[in-house]
Amino acid sequence: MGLFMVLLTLAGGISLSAQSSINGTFARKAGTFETSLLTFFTGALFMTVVVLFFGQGNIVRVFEVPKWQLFCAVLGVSFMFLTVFTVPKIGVAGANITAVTGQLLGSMIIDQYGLFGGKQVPVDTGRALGLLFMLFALYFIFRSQRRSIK
Amino acid sequence: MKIIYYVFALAGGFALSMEGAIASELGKTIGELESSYFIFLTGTVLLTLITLFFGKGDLSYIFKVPRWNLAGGSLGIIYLTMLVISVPFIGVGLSMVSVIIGQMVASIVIEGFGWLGSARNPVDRDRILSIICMAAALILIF
Repeated sequence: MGLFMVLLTLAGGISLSAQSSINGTFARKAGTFETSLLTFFTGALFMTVVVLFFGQGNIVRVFEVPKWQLFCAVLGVSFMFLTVFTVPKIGVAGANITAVTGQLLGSMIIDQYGLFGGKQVPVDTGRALGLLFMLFALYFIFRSQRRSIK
Repeated sequence: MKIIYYVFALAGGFALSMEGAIASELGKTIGELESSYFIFLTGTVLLTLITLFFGKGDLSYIFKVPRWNLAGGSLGIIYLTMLVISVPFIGVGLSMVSVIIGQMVASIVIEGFGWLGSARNPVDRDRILSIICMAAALILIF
């Protein structure tokens, strides 16, 4: 069961890469905002069906939560826009690996201070070393990308 | 200079981490799937407004390009669904590690062969080193 779940999440990661490549291709013709819009629109259509059948919460309670929690939608749009914008310029791998670095870095900062109501997890040796390896990863992909342009 | 685009991609990842943290807080009240639904709905509204006022592209390409060019949104939902299913079984840590490894390996393979309309960049030593470093980082962090 565990292995099957790992394979499932691997497939999830693969579909995210496929998404950024396909969006990069469509954006070259239709434009960056337009591609982000299409992605969110079809996503919303699918989610309507998913929530109708599998939703166990209550979407209407969105009117009761503190307003700052609604800001996650703006952040989702920003992520999508920046991905669609950067993939045609620095490639799928460059954009993905850089975004993952930003994501992990951001998570560490959020954990360090326990921001947004999350649990506080201070940076330890493991995380600091992890950060170092991420910077190496970024350096290598940057070097490879620059060489391929020349 | 290309480096500015790396800064933008880094900012995108930053936004994603904050989105995740806030969405999980929102999910505690309205439900996990519902919070993704909220993001997609509100995102669609915002992007419709932005595209109406600032869009320089051409949405009519939706009807002209091969249909697989439109699959972006569906793939995002696959990603989301896989994650929602796996987290209760194997935990957030292992889920994130395998999602990100799948994402990075796939991006290098896709670009290596120039699949899905991406510019072709062969797999080289630097790219493999990059993935190894990232895998090491993930294991150290989670």
